[in-house]
Amino acid sequence: MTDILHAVPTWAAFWGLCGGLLFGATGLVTAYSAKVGNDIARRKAWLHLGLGVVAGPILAEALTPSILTLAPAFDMRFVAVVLGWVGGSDPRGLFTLAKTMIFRVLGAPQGEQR
Amino acid sequence: MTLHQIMVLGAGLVFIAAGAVVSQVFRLLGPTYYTRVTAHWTVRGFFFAASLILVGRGLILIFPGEAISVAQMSPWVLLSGIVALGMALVLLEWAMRDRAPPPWSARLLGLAAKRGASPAAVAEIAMALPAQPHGDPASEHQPCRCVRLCMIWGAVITIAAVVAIILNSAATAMPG
Repeated sequence: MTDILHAVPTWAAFWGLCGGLLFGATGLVTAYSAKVGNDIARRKAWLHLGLGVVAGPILAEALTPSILTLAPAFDMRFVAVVLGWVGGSDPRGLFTLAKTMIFRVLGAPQGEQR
Repeated sequence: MTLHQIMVLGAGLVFIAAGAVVSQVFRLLGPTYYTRVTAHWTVRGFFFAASLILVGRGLILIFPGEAISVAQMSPWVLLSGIVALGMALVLLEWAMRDRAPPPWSARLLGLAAKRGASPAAVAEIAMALPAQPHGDPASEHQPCRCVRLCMIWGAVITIAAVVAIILNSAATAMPG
């Protein structure tokens, strides 16, 4: 049992979960505050918490090894928590933007079907 | 735990807190919080990037690895973190302000003025208009006070637990 307890903090997924939890919990605090909270905000905050808890570990586990090969000086926990934080914030717009930029750099014709 | 190590961890926490506050400013300026100030997408995009940068700055101070050396970190880093957190809190207070009335109420006032209402009467109509763009929607349901407090306390406890895990891992793995 203690073996697992010692092994868990070495998983990138655990730190991704921490990052996603951090991001989701701060969103919850804002959404449930008396001053600015409303129905839509509360539902979205729970969605973002769920997204952070689910997508954070997945993103961290998936991307941490490749990022560490590109830049081995970083600590694994740092990369994983940042990825968990990013995962919680629904970065689909970021991915679309990155894809557009990469296509433009590679000179691919716009509107190409993949 | 030397004083220097405490200062490094504190600077990291301050930067992460600033990043979290700016991330909430980013949310508040968006369409989710429709009764509050909204901003142009470039401004929101800047705040999104800013929150990532601040959180990354804080995290790399806590988990430096071999990327940076925190053994010679100067106190100015902690001070600039406090400045970033303070400015983020001021931004948060600004982003929580009510939205200005929408253009249609200004057009209604223009219509009233065109129909021959005196400036004093127009001013009276303007004062009587509700501050929020369309008042409270019919389905506006605020959960009761204890539900709200429970949710906020749960979130605060979760944040504290995650921060404790991060600090514990950083402290046990710290060199020297």
